[in-house]
Amino acid sequence: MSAAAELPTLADAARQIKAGDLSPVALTEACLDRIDRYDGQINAFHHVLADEARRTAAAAESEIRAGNYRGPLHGIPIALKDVFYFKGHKTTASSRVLRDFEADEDATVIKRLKDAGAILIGILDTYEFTFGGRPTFDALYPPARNPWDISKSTGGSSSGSGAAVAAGFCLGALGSDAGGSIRTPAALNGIAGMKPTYGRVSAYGDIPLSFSFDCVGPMAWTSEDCALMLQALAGHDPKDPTSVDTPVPDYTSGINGDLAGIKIGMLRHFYTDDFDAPLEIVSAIDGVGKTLASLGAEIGEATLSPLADWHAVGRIILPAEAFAIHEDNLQNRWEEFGPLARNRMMLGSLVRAVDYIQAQRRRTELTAEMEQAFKRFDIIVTTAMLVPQPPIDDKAPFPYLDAPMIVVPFNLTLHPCHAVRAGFFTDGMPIGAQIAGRHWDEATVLRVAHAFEKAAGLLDRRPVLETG
Amino acid sequence: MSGDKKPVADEDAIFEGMVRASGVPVTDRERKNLRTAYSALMGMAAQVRKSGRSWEVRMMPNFTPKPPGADDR
Repeated sequence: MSAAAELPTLADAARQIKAGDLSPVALTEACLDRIDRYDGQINAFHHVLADEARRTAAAAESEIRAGNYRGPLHGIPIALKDVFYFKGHKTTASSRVLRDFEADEDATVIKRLKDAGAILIGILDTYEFTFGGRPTFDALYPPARNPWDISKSTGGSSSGSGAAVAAGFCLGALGSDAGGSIRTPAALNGIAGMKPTYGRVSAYGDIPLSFSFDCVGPMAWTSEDCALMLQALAGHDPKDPTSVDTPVPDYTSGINGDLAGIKIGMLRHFYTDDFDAPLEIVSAIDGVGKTLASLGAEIGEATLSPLADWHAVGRIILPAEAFAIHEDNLQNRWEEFGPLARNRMMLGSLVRAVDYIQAQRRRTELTAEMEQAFKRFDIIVTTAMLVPQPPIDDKAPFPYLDAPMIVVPFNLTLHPCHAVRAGFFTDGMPIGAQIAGRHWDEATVLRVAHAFEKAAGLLDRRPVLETG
Repeated sequence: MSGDKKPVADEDAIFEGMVRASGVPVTDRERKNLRTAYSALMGMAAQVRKSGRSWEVRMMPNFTPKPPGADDR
């Protein structure tokens, strides 16, 4: 049950490495071999750090043999979205503006992965400056392609992270999510991806898109894998003023707990009434509810303001903040931006201060509404996508203005929200669901997601890759 | 201003002014795309407003100083 028949999941690999049954060197070589064979078609990586990964894997192997096992990420190949400060390496955000940028320290999440003994195997594609929508062909690097069908979009902005995990190039990846940028590529590539509670994982050293929304989180084949990654990533960081000093629970000790008494709110009107999603999506997401019911959860129906209301707030706040962050470069180095990213950010210059503030006030009301829903339910389930994976060469400049964004509500309210594989379209492309929980309660989200994955048995199907 | 007539804003002029004020050059094609997007954006700006909204509905996020000694814990 992994991305590739010859690779274990992150959790299985960790168990085998700890028991001395799997060599980190061999595991790293297996990943490098797959990257070598297949990434010419997928474009998930900006840089493969083969030599460095081999050195770190050999060191991890020696350490573990000497009895110094650090924990579940020790010896595990993990790749990084190209938005994190990474000492000794360039961080480009796939933009010509940052083609020569090299931070002199690591992002906190990179430091935590290094401390956990992870093998950092390469730097992954992102939409330029992480602004979502459609893939950008005019950024510094070509867009990652969906391993299930390379003519289709990976979704973004953590496009390389979604593609690399789905293709079996690494056992986990770091992503960032200001408007669905972890959950959308997780859903479109058929993997799992967690946007934690805002403040749970440090964003220090993550190139910002939106101060209100930026979150960093794990992406992996299974929810259990994400739990192991989140354990290493979570925790207070004084360098990040939005980081919150609150205890981090053990995400894996209770992950196999039963679902008896868990109250699940199916947020159906987002994909049935507010947007007319295809029947395959409706069936798959409704199926998540049925599976959870069969596991003992109590299922009800959650009702919130129409999706368009949530979407409107997100679409005003995000570009305004993105323009403010990048204003200087947009004004002085505009020709170095890809036109698509530049125009997406330009939208923010058209938002007046009063519009921005009214949107933030509406956000207060919507957050209160969501909190009410979480008084009734432990978990809210909805779809992670309203339409199938679009063609990779779709050039609509502002697609997110035409259709509502299903992932945005949980960015507005700062709740933890996790994407899981929920089914397949008839053409074999994956369908993703979102599972959201109360603030700081990633543990219950992961428990429900893990129970669903085990019961649904959807993760055995893998993309078929071609060499190139 | 008298009566119940609302002033009609010249959206084209506002758009042109805001693009100029941004200080970012745009091509004619980009300007056309942006003008369409601007209309959608203004629709959303209307949508986030609510008649009769209480003053007590403040904006997110909220910024409050840490209590004394919070850093010493």
